[in-house]
Amino acid sequence: MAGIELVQLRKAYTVDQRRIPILNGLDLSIPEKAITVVLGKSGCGKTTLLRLIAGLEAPDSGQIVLPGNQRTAFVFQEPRLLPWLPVLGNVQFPLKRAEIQPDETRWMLRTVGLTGFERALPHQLSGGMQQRAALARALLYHPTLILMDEPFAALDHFTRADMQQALLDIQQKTSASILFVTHSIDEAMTLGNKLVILAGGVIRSAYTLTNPHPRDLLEPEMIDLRRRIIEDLNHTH
Amino acid sequence: MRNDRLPLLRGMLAPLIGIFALLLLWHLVCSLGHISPYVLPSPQKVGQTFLKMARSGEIARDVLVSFRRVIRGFGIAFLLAFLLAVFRIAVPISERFTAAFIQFFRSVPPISLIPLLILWCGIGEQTKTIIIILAAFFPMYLAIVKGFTSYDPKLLEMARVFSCSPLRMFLRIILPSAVPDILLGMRTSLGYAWRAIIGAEMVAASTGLGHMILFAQQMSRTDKVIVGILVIGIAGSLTDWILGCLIRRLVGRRAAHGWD
Repeated sequence: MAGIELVQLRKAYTVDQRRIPILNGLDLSIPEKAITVVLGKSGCGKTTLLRLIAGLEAPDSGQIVLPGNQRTAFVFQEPRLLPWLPVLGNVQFPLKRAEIQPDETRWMLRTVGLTGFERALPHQLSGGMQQRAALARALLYHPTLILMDEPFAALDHFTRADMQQALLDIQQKTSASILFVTHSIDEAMTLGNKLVILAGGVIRSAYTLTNPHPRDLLEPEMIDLRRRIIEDLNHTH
Repeated sequence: MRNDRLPLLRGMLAPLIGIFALLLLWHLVCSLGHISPYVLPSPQKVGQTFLKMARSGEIARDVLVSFRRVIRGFGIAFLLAFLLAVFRIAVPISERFTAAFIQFFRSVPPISLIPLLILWCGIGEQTKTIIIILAAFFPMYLAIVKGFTSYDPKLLEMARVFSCSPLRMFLRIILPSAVPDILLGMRTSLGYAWRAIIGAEMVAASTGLGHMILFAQQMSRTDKVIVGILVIGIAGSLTDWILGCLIRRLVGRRAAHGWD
């Protein structure tokens, strides 16, 4: 087993002296070399789950079993680019000098549609372009696991579709495991090999999608799946 | 080309008019004859003295002496402020032990320490260097500490995810975030250093601009006193302008950060 195993994960925050439980004994297997999408309503603990796996926070109890020599990248909700570095410097930021490959960087910038903006500073880019730079930064790092926290939420429909396709292409080329968090059912069904519904601090249901990309979301099978997902999300409380 | 030059000329015109108006007023006051030339010499007399002192090398010599002192003291103060600020950030608990001490010395004007410093170090260069260090250290130290603590924690989190080492995080995120504050602190401190050295040279020196002014006053040469004041103003403004240019060059590309 080389994927990631989450066992009885619990996490609560204390806000204004009130304890707010977020994850209540969550169990989840994240398969390797596949896209696992976590769907859930706002505030259900999707981001917390990613932060625990990334090691940015510690769980109150439970276990996170990661494979050895894991190389993790994180695409946050906001781009988190260094404001004083141009696009090129930002996408190469996680790399050591010896790891930088100019050809690959050029290819990546072309893939995310940022060719010609190498020398632009983040404040000179639109929000969507900044997010694409953040995606390029994560992918250039050659991660074995990419954690993505609603990375395309701020993009328009067409750019979002382009970025989803780019992500699928890159995932196929690199065979990285991806844990993708979103609240968009369409996005989840477009990208995911495995769909999990997070509700009430546990995994409420999980679905495996085997149909190849690009997917037709209007197929009867997909419409049926969408209905079941909506039902799962509606029965959260 | 013509259009490019116009705003620059316009920008220079206003200060020049201001200076000209002041000179005219000064000239009128002197030519009325109500004030003794000993108390307020005319601008022409001051101008002549300035040219004479410039030709003889007297001004250049004193400027150079004071400038060297400022640069030495300022450099040491910067080094100390930077290292202690790094220590303060690396060992946060140290703030509790040093806060009262820093607050105390920040409130003591360095000039007031001159008698004690003369007693301990004599009237040599050491005393003057210490005066400048004391004057320049605190604004720089406080600005550098502020700079080191005003980074965006989200950027540090991003670096942590990508397994950056603490040193790399400091060099690539914390330090660049602090650059505007550090430069602002340096600019403020440089002004403080100039003021302090003139004061120190008036009390304990046989060279430098401060000594030149005091000596001229003792010789009843008010024109030389005014020349000295003008030269201090010009030298201070010039060093501030050079540092300002440097700041614009270093952080000018960060227009979005409010640095202009």
